[in-house]
Amino acid sequence: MHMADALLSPAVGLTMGAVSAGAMALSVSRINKDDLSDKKVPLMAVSGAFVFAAQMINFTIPATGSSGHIGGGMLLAALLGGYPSFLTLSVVLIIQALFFADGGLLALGCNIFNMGLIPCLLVYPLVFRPLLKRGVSYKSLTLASILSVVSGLQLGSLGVVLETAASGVTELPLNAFLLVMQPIHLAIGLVEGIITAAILGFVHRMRPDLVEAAQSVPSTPKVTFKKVLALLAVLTVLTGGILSLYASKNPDGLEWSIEKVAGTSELSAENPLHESAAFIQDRTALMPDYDYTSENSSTIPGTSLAGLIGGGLTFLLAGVTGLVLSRIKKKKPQFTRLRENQY
Amino acid sequence: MITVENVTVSYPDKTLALRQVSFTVKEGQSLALVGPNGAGKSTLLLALVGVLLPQQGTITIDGLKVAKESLPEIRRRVGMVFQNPDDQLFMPMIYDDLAFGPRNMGFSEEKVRALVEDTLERLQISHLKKRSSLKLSGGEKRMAAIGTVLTMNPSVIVLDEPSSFLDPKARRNLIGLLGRIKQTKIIATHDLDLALEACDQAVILNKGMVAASGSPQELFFDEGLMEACQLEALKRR
Amino acid sequence: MAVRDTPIHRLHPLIKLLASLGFILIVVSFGRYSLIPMIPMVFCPTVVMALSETPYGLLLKRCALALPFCLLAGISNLVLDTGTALTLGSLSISTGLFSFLTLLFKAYLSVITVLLLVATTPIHVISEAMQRLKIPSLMITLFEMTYRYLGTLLEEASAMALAYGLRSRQQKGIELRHMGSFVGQLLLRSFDRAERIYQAMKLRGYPAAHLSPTERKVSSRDILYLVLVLGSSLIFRALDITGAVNIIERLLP
Repeated sequence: MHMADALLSPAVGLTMGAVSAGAMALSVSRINKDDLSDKKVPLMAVSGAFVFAAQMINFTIPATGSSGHIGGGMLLAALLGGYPSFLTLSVVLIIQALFFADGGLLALGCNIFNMGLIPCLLVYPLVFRPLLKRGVSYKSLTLASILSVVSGLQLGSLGVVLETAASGVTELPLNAFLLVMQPIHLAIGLVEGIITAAILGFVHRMRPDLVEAAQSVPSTPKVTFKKVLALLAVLTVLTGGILSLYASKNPDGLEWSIEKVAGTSELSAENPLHESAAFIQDRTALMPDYDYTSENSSTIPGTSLAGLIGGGLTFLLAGVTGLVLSRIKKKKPQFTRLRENQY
Repeated sequence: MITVENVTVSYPDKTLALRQVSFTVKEGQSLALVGPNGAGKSTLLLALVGVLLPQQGTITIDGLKVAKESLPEIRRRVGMVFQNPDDQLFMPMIYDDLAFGPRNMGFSEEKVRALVEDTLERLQISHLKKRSSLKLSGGEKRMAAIGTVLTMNPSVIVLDEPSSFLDPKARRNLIGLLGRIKQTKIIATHDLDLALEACDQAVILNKGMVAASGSPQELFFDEGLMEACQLEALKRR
Repeated sequence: MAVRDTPIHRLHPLIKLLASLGFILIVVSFGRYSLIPMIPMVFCPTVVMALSETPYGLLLKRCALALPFCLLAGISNLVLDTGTALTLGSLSISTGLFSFLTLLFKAYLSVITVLLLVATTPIHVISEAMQRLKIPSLMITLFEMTYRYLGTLLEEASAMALAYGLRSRQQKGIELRHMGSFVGQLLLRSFDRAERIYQAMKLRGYPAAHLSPTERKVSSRDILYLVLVLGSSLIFRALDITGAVNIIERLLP
């Protein structure tokens, strides 16, 4: 569900970046007010690393032969509370963007919003906590987990759809995009919800204090429907405005396919086991039969034989420049190599 | 000088971890704390640094009683090396791990650098300075973990199973280093050979109580005593 | 790789971050069919790559892993956007191919920019830069420690998965019905570990007032780099290469 830089327009990327940065600043100030904030830092950090590791654990669904992995956002929220889990997931997403090229620098705002803010600061206080208000039991834990994971993923994938559509980089018609994304994420959500319930159930059996303490701590936003409505209104206006610019480019009524294969390069290189742990998320759908009338081809710049030749030459020139520079660097190696040895 | 007097610690679920434990360690001496799994060795170490406070009895470090009020000073005086170096090396770079304590003590960055460089030199791990702890061998991690405590220049060092995760050569290195460290030491270990070489005295814990104390020479070869404490006596060569 | 010493590694980390972000913004601001005007944009990453001595193969490998999502999202363009952009003899090239390739090219440029940034900036330099940006120390410690424990927990998880795999019927993954206790175990171990780390930190005086980072001034070299990267990109963005191409066109018979 990671958004990529290339799918975004600058306006959408920067807007979402600002929203997510604001939410992170708010969370930091809330956690710093907490007396136990110094104890929370290692807990949050190790939990972040845990989520990373948990995402690498591949499970199989019996009789279907399919496999998947969990996202872990709601699990963290249930154990750490709203603000700490949001910050933890944000840091995980930042690390994924920087070191694993998953997502991207500009897309960070979108990803933190879709996968962090929505589950931790909206769904957790609005769905998860109220369901556990009358006490933590196997039943309430299961119900709360499934409902919140499903709604978190529905909203998150809605976010992906809206952000992509508002950016207008792809040809995907909005409602077709929705028709594909939402049912797929319903299925993913149900499975992850069941697993989240099982994990929380296990933790509750072993360490009831952990699960119960999290539900009574104050480090959770007091979200009222008013605030949510206000946030939604702001986002609607923001995205609506941008969306309308591109609306005409997005005709309706078809289905398309999308599939994400997210890689974990560093891990698979270091440990053969991660070959199998590297996750593959399948999202299948149907191909469309839609007659698309494209824009006038004259709007496409550089489309002529000469344009192609010019482009090709530029490419070549860039490649040669790179090669020459590398050669020059290699010719005087003593300098740099010596310094390297210091480390 | 460390005095442990009639210390009793019980866990929140009321199980007794330590019962009436008493012993003293003189300045500059090193004490081996041995005993089977679950005898209370780790609990005692945590009580020495004030992570756990005893329900009864007192622990004093150079005359200062371990109590809630004295914790900052106690932690300046006592350094603890954890059993698993991964718990202790939590910064991205070894240098920062060693600098963590001195920085928190409010030293200037120059002083911190001098302390860290000096400690790295003493442990012969200067080449690891800029490395991440993730990529180190077990022996290197152990040296770095000891370094994180040495940079704070404590008067007492407690070590929990220092020879775990070590190959024979790294273990040999560690024994040499323990001999060179001047501070008062308490070493909880299953490694009787190490205790024999590195320690002046020993306390055997069993089921939370002191079963015997004395010199390692007289305790570790006593088959009757060792067997009664679910330990294996050393054989004289 | 990130601890080499090259002109790029020596640059001020904030300048590098600014340059990277600006570059990506310019890349994504190109129109959806601007494949050809965008081609000169490859100069910057290529030159930086050569100057920083970053192995190209490695970058490409990492890059390839990040591309599939864009590839698949872009396929719709290929299928839906069927106008004719160009006819070369009997061969006609569709507008969809152009927008598809543009998307892929954007993805390549933005991914390689981030990879180059990280490949030339060690983690402690990144966190110093964060301090200079006045990002709260809570965030920075969290960032550093999460990064630190990634590997440790991955090792632990894969050791568990190996132990599971060796005793299970199929080798593929964890059965759904075991996920609760498997992940739950890992989680409890992680929480216990967090407790021990907290003790280790506490014993060494944490928390204490945070230090200000060692000052590092922005040098003229840094400014030059920023101006070169952003300036050249802006020029490429504003100028259409087709202008230059017209000259070639005249030279062609």
